[in-house]
Amino acid sequence: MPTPPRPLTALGALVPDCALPDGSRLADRRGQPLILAFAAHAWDPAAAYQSALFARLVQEFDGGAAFVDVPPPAETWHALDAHGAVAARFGLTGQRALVLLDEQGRLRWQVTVAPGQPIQAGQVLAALEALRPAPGAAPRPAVSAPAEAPAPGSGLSRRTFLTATLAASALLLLLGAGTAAEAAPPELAPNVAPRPAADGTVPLTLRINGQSHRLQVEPRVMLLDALREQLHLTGTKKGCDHGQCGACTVHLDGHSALACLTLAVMNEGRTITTIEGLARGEELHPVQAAFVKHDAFQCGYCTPGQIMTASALVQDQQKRSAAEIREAMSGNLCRCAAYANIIAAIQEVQGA
Amino acid sequence: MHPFQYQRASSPAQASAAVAAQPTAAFVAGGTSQLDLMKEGVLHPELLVDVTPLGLTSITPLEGGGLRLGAGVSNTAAALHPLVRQRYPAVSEALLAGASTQIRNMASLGGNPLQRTRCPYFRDPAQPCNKREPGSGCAALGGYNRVHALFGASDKCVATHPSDLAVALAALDAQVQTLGPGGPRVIPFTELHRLPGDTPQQDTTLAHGELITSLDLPAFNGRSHYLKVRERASYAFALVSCAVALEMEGKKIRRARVALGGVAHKPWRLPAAVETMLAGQKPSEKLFRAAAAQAFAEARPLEHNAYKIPMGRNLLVRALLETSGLQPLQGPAGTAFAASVGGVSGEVAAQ
Amino acid sequence: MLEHTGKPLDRVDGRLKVTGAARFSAEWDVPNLAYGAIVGSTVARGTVRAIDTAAARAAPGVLAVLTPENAPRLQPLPEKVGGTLFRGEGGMTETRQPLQDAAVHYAGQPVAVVVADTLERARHAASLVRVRYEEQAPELTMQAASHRTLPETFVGAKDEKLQVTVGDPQAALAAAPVRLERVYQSAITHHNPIEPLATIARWEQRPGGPFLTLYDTSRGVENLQEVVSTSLGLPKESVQVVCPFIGGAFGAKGWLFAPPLLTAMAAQLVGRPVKIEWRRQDMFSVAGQRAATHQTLRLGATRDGKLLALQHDTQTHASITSGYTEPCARVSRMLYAVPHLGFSHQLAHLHLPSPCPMRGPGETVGGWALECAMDELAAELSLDPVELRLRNYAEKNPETGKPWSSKHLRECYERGQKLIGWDQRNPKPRSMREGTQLVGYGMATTMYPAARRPAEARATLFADGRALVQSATHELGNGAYTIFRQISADGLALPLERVRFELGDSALPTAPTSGGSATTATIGPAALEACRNVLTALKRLATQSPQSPLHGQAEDAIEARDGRLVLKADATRGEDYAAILRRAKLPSVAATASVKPGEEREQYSFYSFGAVFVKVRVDEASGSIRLARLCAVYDVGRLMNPKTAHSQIIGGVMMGLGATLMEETQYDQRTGRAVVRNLADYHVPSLADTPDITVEWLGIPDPHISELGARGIGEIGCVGTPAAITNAVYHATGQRLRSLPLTPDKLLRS
Ligand SMILES: Cc1cc2nc3c(=O)[nH]c(=O)nc-3n(C[C@H](O)[C@H](O)[C@H](O)COP(=O)(O)OP(=O)(O)OC[C@H]3O[C@@H](n4cnc5c(N)ncnc54)[C@H](O)[C@@H]3O)c2cc1C
Ligand code: SF4
Ligand code: FES
Ligand code: FES
Repeated sequence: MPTPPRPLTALGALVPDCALPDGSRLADRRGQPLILAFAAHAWDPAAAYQSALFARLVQEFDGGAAFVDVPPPAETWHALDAHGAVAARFGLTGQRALVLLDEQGRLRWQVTVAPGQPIQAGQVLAALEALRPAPGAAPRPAVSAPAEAPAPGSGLSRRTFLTATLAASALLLLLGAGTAAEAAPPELAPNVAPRPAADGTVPLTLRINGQSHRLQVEPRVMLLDALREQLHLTGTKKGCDHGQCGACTVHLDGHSALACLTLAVMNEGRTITTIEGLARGEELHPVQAAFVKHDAFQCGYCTPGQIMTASALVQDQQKRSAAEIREAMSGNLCRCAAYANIIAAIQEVQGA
Repeated sequence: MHPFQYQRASSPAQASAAVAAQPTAAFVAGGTSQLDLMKEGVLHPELLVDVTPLGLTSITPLEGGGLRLGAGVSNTAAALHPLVRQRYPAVSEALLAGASTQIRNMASLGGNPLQRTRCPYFRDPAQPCNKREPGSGCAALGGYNRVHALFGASDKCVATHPSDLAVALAALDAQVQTLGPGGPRVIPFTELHRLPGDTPQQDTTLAHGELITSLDLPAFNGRSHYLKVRERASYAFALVSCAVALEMEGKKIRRARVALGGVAHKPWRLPAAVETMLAGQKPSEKLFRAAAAQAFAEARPLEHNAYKIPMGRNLLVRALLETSGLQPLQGPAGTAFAASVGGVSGEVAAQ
Repeated sequence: MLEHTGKPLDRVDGRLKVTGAARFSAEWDVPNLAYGAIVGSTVARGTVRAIDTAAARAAPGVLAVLTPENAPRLQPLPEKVGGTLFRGEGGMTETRQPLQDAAVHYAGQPVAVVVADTLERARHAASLVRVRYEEQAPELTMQAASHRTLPETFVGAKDEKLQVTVGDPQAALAAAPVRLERVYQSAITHHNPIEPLATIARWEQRPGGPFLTLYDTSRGVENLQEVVSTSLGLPKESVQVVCPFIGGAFGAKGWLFAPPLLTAMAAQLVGRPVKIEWRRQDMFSVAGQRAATHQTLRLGATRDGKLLALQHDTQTHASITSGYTEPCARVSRMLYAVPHLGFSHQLAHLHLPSPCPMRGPGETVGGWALECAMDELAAELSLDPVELRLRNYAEKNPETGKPWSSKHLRECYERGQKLIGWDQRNPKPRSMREGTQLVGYGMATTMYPAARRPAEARATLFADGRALVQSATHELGNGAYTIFRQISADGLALPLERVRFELGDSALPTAPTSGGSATTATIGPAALEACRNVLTALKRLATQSPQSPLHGQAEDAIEARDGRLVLKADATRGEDYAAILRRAKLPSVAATASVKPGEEREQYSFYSFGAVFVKVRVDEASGSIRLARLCAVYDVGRLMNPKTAHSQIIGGVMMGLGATLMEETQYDQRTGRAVVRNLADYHVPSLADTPDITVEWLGIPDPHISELGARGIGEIGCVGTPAAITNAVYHATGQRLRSLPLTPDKLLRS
């Protein structure tokens, strides 16, 4: 089931310093054991497990536990590890995982959690237990054995236990980590049908949100399904699958286009931008910010598509009248019908 | 969707040959019609030849005042091109009143006139349909045929052609440049599409593997205009549409060419007799009403589409009134606002 | 006390939604996921004789084909769940369980599910399944239906009788000086949320036995948990339904259970997690619909416009396997002071897909008929339409005789008239133009029952000063995350950032299916009560601790303020929550609340009200109708968040607009197959169809509904709009259109 990630840092080795989303540095946190919880989502309200874990930990470590949150950016409780930079340090490419560093900043334990499964508080506790200095004993084997014996005093004091929750969306981690090494897409070789493998799949490199992704897909795979099912870039939505709703809007070479009506293989060499690639780190794209401000959505399902069309639209810096916005945005259906607010949001961005 | 092989075209000749060589091969450009129907289970090519690498994306003036629109030009790019807007506003209007921003960005000029009908029975593989499956019958004939044809239908098929652009091109007597297995040829646009007859599976007169390389607009010194009625203010196919190309001589009409959309298996140029009725006359509502009455004299409504007759007549009159200047356009020439009957909702109409 | 509640705050889940990070049901990254694809029946009535799955099974990547033959056996659906009648005439849902027998009751009914390792392979293999049917001629029209019934109640609700007579409407009609009898018809419409139905089902072996997790597009996670566990013969605790975000529901995604059940069965069969995402095309068969209606309205009145009698008779339809009845008289039964009132509902069982509630069930199309008839009566009497309504203003509920909990409809009429410029219009039909277009003004009254249901919530305060409030309700665009956090923050006297509200998980404290505009009135008080209970627990800790500055104080001498418990008399004496917990060596303290509406429900009649005014432009030559402006004023109690409320209301308005002008599903009259089955043919309003909208509310709290004073707002926008538009089209053109939707052909034909 959960395959352990390939740690960039060997167990027991010092984890190289890096910046944490709250602005602090990993190195500065030495002196206390540190749990990094890579949740698959930022503050994910579905994740009752997050609060359950939280509650269990408090219980186990009573009042002595300090829970350090990254300062809340806008609404979310946890900063996003937007580019997967921190996760990448641990060889993580999108999995949810728990990583335990000892007081000296050495990697002590790491576990990935199958998506859809709760992070078991018990797992964390077992790991912590293992670091507890059992008088004169080596760490328990329940935990992947550290490469070297823990330095004296690396045991976990209940009083000094510290956890920081770094939440990162699985997709973003994926971008930030596993595939970053990809080179620029190969030159298009005209008239060369990508040679299908025995199972009918062809190799394919897609450049999405500035990252290259290598895929092996059948030619019949739509860009939309490649994004959602293979790359887990689920921000691009499927509403009709036939060009009739606009929920799947992405930018292809800077123009708004429908991911449900183009084959993934047709997009090799194009610059693809999805909703996940619109914000710059923590800073929302102006259209995103205006949508929040004007409540230009309700359920939020059509919203990524609306924002992709609108963000392509405002690139030309024209000031469109309300009627022109109505016409230009008519290809994005919103059944919640936040339309009046969408007009307001776009007008605000145009005015800026 | 059935599995298929995918190939990128390297040259027009190669593309044409590749498709011609295999009965189950097809071109794909923007994909907005081709892939849509493959996903519906309507089309099952075994080889898809992607013509987008061919480029064919230029718009070039022709000697003598015409304009050549490459088959790979996107609907957006064509509609916004200054020469198209200036000289052939009907083309810009038809394009911009079609589909949505995103689809226009993807759709090519070559693909647009070749999109398939929106007959709902055609799109549902569980229904009989002669166009999809020759010999299986026509479910629309005795079924729900609200969006179907008034003219030129057969007992095998009563579908309409959905393209807006095609209607404008028919009125302007555009020409289609192709490259097929037999070499290049030029087809008058009005002869590109055909009536269903006994072979509704055949939409056009193109040979299998014949590639459209450009659409040529002949020189035109007149006014052109496109009007479209639809069920929602935007992002909907035409119930009925109308393109007019009007050339004046002094206060009189020298030549009027009119095509209707949404009423036949092809863009429906008015019978020559009706167009000549207008020639040499001074524009007037009376004249236009008479022409409209004449134009629809041969209409053969089905159970659910008789409304298209008064709608079409009124639209034709209005398109002529607006093109001849007797009535103001609804919005700036060359925009969706000029074309959209009823306009967008809201108090402030686009100006 | 209400510091956050009532403020127009941005949505707390806004950032997630605009960045694409909000996780919808089809988007859980479950390892080893397989994909299901549906084979729908091509016939509307008959029996499956044989299913040839050989080609499909031989196709690459195919794991299994689920058919009635190998499908796990399901227990029958419960008769009733949570007080809602499921089965039988007037019941909520399909009686039949999926893939349990060979009978086909409507086209598109799932007859097999193909499971494969990729989406593409599953869909393709589904096209290879060959099904042989023994076909019978389907019954597709209400007039010709052989099975017609008169259901007694709407989903078993005692106070929702469907066949009612108050006084003697027949005699009163016969005697009335002015009589009007009209037939109004409305088309089948579909909710068409932009997010299609989807389920991921994942089975695990847990110590207690098999455990099923469903990530489902459900606005009733607990309901679904109960239905699925009962159907599969599992203990309720062995099923968990998770749905943190719903991409719109509008009445769908609540009451039809075949989609999640099929997914669960498929996952069981292949021993792998399975995802089924329904195609938009399938949504026209399995997702529920608003049935068509044929409504006869008879009004009797005095010459000066006083209603004497009102008879509202509805014919509508359900599938063969459902008894759901569109309750069209919901408005007629209460809106006007009528001494003699009657209504009836006749249900025809047809070989069409099963209906279910759709935004404003009954109210949207039933209210349309009534409010159009009122407009016709006003014209008949040469009375201003508003004046006619004022003359029949109901000071109490005409059916039950109960007083209203709160009603300020007069103010709505008054304000609405001002906003639209009612007095500046020329009341004569066909008298107003703009350019080539006719212009018309119209109005209608709107209402919505203000339901409230029992619910539970839990509040937990943590030692670090943060809090969590939970209830198994749903976020479907209604702003649940936001408003319940606002309410909870107030309840706990904490800043918003320190409070989180969780929902959408059947493991959380019980909440009902989100619907009927009841969520705010239901969950709000529960959350508030849970907060209060947890503070009481905290007070106890403080007063009992000798080290506390509050030691020995009476609990009611203490109040919560800014994250602290302080003495009411001396706010400087107190301590913060975290300190109390830390001293008590408690990581957290939690409390639950279980609240339900009480006596007040017996004493009062709870409704929201409003008045809708529109201006339309009609292009008569083409039959095109566009809305220029809509001004509406609502009396909906106190608003929890005016920003999200505004969105809810304009969303409702636009859905009403869609039903009025363009929405219509067609089934082939010979085969019963959906002919309109996609979003290009089924037109929902686009941005270009959006008028200039002005929405206001009176903001008068309902003194009886709950201490929050909030009634619901989810549906009232949808009601009223259709009649206002239809009446405006009459004013513009002089033509009465009595069949929805008002597509261009109808104006041209009439
Ligand atoms: C929801 C929706 C709404 C729409 N609304 C409208 C509308 O209102 N008005 C309107 O006019 N259209 C409308 N369209 C249709 C759309 O404009 C067409 O699908 C599009 O123009 C086709 O162009 P394409 O490049 O995508 O063609 P493709 O889908 O790639 O190809 C279409 C056909 O043309 C063939 N083909 C493509 N290029 C060539 C070539 N160079 N030579 C020979 N054959 C070729 C293909 O083999 C295929 O058969 C709508 C489409 C959708 C999905
Ligand atoms: S009208 Fe033509 S396309 Fe439609 S069902 Fe008949 S044959 Fe098929
Ligand atoms: S999913 Fe692509 S347009 Fe609807
Ligand atoms: S926000 Fe729900 S569909 Fe647009």
